[in-house]
Amino acid sequence: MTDFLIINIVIPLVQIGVLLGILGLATGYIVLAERKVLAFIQSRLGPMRVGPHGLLQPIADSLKLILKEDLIPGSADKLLYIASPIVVVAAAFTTLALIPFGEGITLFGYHIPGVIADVNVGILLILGISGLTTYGIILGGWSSNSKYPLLGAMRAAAQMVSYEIALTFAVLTGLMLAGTLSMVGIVEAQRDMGVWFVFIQPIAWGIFTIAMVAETNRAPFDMAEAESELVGGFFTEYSGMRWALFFLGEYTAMLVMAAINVTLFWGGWLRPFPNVEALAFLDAVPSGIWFLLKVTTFLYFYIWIRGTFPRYRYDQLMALNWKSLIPLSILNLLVTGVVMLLLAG
Amino acid sequence: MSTIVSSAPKKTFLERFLLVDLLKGMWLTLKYTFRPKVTVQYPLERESVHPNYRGILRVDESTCIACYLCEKICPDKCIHLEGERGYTKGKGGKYATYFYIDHARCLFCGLCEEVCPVDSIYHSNEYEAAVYNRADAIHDLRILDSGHNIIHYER
Repeated sequence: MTDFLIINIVIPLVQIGVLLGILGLATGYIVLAERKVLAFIQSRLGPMRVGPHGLLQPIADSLKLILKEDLIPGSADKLLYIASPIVVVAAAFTTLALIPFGEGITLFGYHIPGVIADVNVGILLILGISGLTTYGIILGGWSSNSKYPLLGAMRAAAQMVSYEIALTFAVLTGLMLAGTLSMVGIVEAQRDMGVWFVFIQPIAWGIFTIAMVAETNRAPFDMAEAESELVGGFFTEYSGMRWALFFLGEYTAMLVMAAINVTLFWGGWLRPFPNVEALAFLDAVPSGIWFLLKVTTFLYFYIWIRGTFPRYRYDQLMALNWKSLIPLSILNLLVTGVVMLLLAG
Repeated sequence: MSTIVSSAPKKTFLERFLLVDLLKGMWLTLKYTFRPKVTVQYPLERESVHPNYRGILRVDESTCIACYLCEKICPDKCIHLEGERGYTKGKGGKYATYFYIDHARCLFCGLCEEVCPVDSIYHSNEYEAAVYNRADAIHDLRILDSGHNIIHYER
């Protein structure tokens, strides 16, 4: 009985506690990393004053945002206005429960898995719950009862919904290779095949990467929050902690997408060359560290792209999706299917 | 309207498919990430100014002959002085008894420095002259001679 309780309630609770604790802080530091990396690309230094090299900046920012006045515009729809940041953050944080951070460790005789919930339809759940962020954005734009947020929200919703199609087709191609929808199953399939999926499916990886940047409303696809054009886009009317919640949700979604990219195409928590015996000394590094390194590379990639490319105009954005990415991903799916059929039989 | 033909070099299909120019752009930004930065972290570091820099005005009290030329040429009328004949310089010349420059009005044009016949008024290299109220911006003769109290911010 205690065994059952511990495995099914205590361990997940501990995992959730650790994850939420670390992730809250981590998202703040991703914001700092973005400011520093963008600054370095632009030949300047970024935050340097708060703490050594600006390391205490997120804490200063959080304190400031918490102490700000809580403003609800008079003509706003109160319930929706309050609910929309919560929807965005809740959707983003729920998907964190499905990501395998590592292989799992054994403590006190109990095996603590690297993922909080190893559902056998993991990827499907993640894509579904991430779609709920679109709801939050539409609610936010609509409830603000003002033109810029409304326009921003409509554009953002159309963009996110369209790029989800390209995203899903790219994911499908990876899944065909893995044969299972479970996140842990996908990583194990890569270990059994001995090669990361990105080397067999580079086109699918390329499409997924472009679609993931568009899905999370990041530059160069950030028309919805284009700071120079729509003031703040859908979160113009939000200030203080509510705005911080939107931001938190967006950066967590970024983290989740990077994690899916790593899990699906780059071997998750596997070390490089998982089946080569000569490199077995790399096994000494805990699997979580490999995962962290890979996800950090993708987060750097997100910021790098933001600092390099100009923003897509809205019609160019949609044309890219419907005229280039979706046909390419469907073609890729077809070709992969045909090749797999020919190789199997 | 005739069609506009772009003079940009034609890209091959492979270059467009593999996003070659996008990758070239990313390589450029990566290189810049590791180059030295141009930020001068004031107040820990300060830009050095060149010798001709027109900073806060200084007056050498011992050479000023109170000719009023600087007062007349100043476009903003920020220099005010009064002179008297006296024997303080050992030859019965004029000297300034009352001299003040309003640095809040001074536009640092350098005309008074150019017109002074004895090179008594000049622009120093100091630029840190922020004050908390307008009265502190008026420098009288004592400050002009010895230099104003410069506060170098450390934090």
